[in-house]
Amino acid sequence: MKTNTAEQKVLLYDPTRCTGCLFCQIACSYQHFKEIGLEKANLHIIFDDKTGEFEAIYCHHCDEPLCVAACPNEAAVKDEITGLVKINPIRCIGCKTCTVTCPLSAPWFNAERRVAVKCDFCDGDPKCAKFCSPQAIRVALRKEAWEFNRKRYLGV
Amino acid sequence: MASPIESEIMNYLKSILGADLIEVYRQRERRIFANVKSEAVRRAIEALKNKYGDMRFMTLSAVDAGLDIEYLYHFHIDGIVLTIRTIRPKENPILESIADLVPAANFIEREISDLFGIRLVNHPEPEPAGLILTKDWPEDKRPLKKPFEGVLPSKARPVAEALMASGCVAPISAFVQKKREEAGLPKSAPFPFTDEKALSEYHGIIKLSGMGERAGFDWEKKKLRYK
Amino acid sequence: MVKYAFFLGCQIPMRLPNVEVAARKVFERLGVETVELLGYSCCPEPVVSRLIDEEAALVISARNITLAEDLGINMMTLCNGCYETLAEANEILKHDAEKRDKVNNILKRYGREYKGKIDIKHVIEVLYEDVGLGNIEKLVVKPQKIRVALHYGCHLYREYKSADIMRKPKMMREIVERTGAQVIDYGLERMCCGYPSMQASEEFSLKERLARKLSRINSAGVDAVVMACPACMIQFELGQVMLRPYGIQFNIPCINLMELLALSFGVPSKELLIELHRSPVQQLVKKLGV
Repeated sequence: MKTNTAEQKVLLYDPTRCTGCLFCQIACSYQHFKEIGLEKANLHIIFDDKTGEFEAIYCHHCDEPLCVAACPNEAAVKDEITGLVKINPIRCIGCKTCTVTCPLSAPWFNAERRVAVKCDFCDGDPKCAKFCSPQAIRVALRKEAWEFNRKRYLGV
Repeated sequence: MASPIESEIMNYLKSILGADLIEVYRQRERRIFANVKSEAVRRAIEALKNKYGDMRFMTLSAVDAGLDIEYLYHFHIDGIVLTIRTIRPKENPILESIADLVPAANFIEREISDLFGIRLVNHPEPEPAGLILTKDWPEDKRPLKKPFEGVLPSKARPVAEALMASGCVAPISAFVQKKREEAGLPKSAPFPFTDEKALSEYHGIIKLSGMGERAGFDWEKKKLRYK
Repeated sequence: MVKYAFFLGCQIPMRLPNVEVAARKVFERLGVETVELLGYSCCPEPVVSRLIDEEAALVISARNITLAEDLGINMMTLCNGCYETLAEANEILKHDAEKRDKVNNILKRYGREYKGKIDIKHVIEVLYEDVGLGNIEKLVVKPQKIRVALHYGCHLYREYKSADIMRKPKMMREIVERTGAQVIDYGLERMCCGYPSMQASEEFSLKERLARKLSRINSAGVDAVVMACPACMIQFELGQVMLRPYGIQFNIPCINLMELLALSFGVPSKELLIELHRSPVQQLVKKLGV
């Protein structure tokens, strides 16, 4: 039986609210790497000076994840119930295939640990969403995210 | 359910140690853990030895926990494993020997002393070092010793220290103090450090919240234990 | 007469007493009674405490809130950061019984109890909702005929009462307009000043955030930047100095909303410790002739 993916929790980013304070990156970096920095983070906020708009690169925990499909060693797995895609660092061989296959390059190669790492949803309580003052990045249901992003990118 | 002998051991520890016993619990069947203050370890072992004649010392393990070293004394009493756990700070790395009470602890203590760079106190051997490593092994390069580091990332340390010590994270300069007085403001805002009662309450609340312990704060010096 | 427990925070009394002086003068004229919170501590600040030790941060915030609860009045903060930290803690403790019990267990040893009876308000809300724009306008004796750019500060967007994150920023804009100043849009109002990322990467924070903002503000041709948050103020003023080694020169005066109000209420600039500013506010004041 296939679970209802529309009811799963994902992160949802609204660029019209983002201030680019990067607290999400700092919180992520501390949560996963115990560092106060910007580089080692599982999500990144970028700014386009021409349009004056922000955009976030973060894992959407896809319904049909390409990183899982591409992983040669079954290190990237999707939990069918929670819908979260995680990389098992013990199984990962550091081939970087997932970092290339993912359209957003959400998994990235950590040179220190020699494995690919990606958003793990902080075990259900994402720190990025918790510390976002304007709630630009927040936890939402997948159906809300579908609707929001359809409106945003396709205008329907 | 604890068996009669298990509860007997736990109650006996409670009765002889009193406030020096931080916690005693039955982790699972035939396995008891007792967290004891470091100064009471010898007293506990002596009392146990007197009561249980067949008590056997299994081994001593040491774990480097960053700021402290955790010592676990494992004993075997009538089919039950009792572990006495204690913590000693790494600033002054000494270990009080129990080899005079339990001769079997002699070698393992020397091994720990070698691998962690710990000085033994009251050990029967006059010069206990050099069991595993060579005698000229450098003092600062012990195989099992980890760097003296707490949980705080280095960038967060000054702020955390100020927060715990004074309750205010921004330092005030003499210039600003002078300017405040010129403008008719009190020398400082009513922070906890301006009032002794408020400060002791504030420190008490931080202590109870566990932040000081987690971050590795020295309450006597009002400083973080690591730089 | 409105009465509030006055939460100053750390940065304002210790580093920017000019804002405190201005705020006190403004409240005096507007008839807002402020009660000192004796023995209050840092709110606590977000990176070290809220991120690294959530539990302890909640206890410290709860203690600060109980100080105001003892007085039986709502709390007002001057700083955006303090507003978010305290309001967030208030929100969590009001709705999460488990966390509230945990906090109260610690607080009760010192005879305190979090009851969840008071509200935390930002000074902008107090001015807009309790004082009213009309009362502010009545007191403006020296309308400031200047072109200003606004910087709201990220924490001002935190919203608990409605879904509109622009609720408080809009209030701030209206208050500034009542002082006679002309608000100029420069397109990047929402962008962060870079203060939180300063700890992570100084160069990124200064070049990618502050310099971008300042160059837009500069080309919009304004006389000053008005902001509500002391942390943004430090970043804007000190940041302009720190950008010089990178070869980026700006010289834009930055003033706090409270100072703008005080000046427009006719408080002589001599009383406002204007000399503590690291940006050319003194020249601005000279130009205005106050």
